[in-house]
Amino acid sequence: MNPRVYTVGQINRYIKGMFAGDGLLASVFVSGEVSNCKYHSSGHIYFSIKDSTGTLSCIMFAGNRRGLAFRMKDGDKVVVGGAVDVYERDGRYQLYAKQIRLEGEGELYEKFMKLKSKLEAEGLFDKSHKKPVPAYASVVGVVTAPTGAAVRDIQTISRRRNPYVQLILRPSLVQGEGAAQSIADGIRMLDGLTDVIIVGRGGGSYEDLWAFNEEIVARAIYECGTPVISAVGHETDTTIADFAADLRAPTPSAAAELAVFDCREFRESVRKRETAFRNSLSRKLAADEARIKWYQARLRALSPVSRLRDERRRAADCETAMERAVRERLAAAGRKAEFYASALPDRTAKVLALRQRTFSVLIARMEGLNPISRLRQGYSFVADSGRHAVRSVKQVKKGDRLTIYVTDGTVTAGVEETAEVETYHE
Amino acid sequence: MSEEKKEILEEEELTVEQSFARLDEMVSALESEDVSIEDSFRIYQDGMKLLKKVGQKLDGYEKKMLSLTEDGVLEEFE
Repeated sequence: MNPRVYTVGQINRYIKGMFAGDGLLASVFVSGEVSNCKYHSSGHIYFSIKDSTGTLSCIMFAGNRRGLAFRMKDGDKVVVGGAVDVYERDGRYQLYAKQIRLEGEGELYEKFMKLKSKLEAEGLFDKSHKKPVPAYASVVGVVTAPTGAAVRDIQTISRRRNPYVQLILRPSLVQGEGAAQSIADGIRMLDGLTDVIIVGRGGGSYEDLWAFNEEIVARAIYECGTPVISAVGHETDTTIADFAADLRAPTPSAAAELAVFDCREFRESVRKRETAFRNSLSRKLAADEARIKWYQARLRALSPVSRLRDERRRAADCETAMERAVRERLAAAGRKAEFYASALPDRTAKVLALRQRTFSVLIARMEGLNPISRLRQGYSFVADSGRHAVRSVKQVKKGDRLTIYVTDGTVTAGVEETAEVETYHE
Repeated sequence: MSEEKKEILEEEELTVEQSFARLDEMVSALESEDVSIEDSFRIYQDGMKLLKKVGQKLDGYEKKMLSLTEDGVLEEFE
């Protein structure tokens, strides 16, 4: 009977399943010395840990790098936390590291956790106690070592962002004997002198950063009346000081960014508001002007003068209409006359001319008959008091009053004497 | 409203944030239709005064880092 044959894949998968079902391997801490440590460009770290009895392959994926707070190198004694699993392709198991710390940190870590819970219970980390960091600090205090990267970084960033902000450094020890006391004293000295205080240091080992995990530092930060920004080590390092601080910056450089406002942004901010002021006022003025103009127009429309003008215009319109009507009528009549004129035969024109002439003669004759025209020739008309024409001497006697009519009026005369002329007869 | 603003202005020493907040209020007041033209001018003048004051936050003097000695004396760092 032939034994059952499996593929490599089947076996590796089977083994992987065994590992996955194991509670211990899913989360385990292993101590050992680092060897073959390689930081890959992808961000993953490949290494082994060994002791006198053997070797364990390890990998820390880039995504878990938060769990490593120092630059790991061969020979380091470390404790690696993670899960042991099978890499099917190579048919081997390895430790997938989630956190790595130097051996000896274990005790410190416990101390850290104990202090953290204690201070937390006391309310030293309460959000309600945290003071806002001023957005526009004029004076920024710094508690850190006078030598080292931290103070340089803060200085550089601050100068770049805003050279008008005053930095005051309180030099202090940041590691070793007396460091915690030095930091706490520094905070107290700067309290009240500055608008905000940066407390921190550059990166280092867990032990290097330990001063920032001391109770007196945490209390000094908590009691400080000035807002405190903590800036200890790298982003991955978290200390008690960070919990107590009003604001935690991942690095000293970042702390400077948070504490020192950017003067260009500030100027821009001021300028923007200035523009807003000018614009809104001129907009308002323009709006008011438009409103005034509207009212002016309305008032003008409603004024008596305007009404008169309206009525006058209406009258003028009527006049124009009438004129047009009359003109049209006249034009029509004219056209009719022209029509008749052209229609009149020649003969009729001659008759008309003759009639015209006759008419003129008659007028001239009538002119001759006009008594006034006689008078014009020097004759006058004499009437007696009864207004009868005096034709004979017999009609009058001495003393009678006569009225003589001339062209422009009458003459009243008295009769002196009468004399009959026998020979005059017409 | 402008009366109250004036008082606050004369109260001095607003922080920069408070000043900016006040300035923003003033701008919206200026943009509001309910504010008379007289008040607008007053707000505008107050605003410009406040802007000037805020602008003085940058005094134009570049600062050297100072170091605070043990005895509380400030001296130039470096």
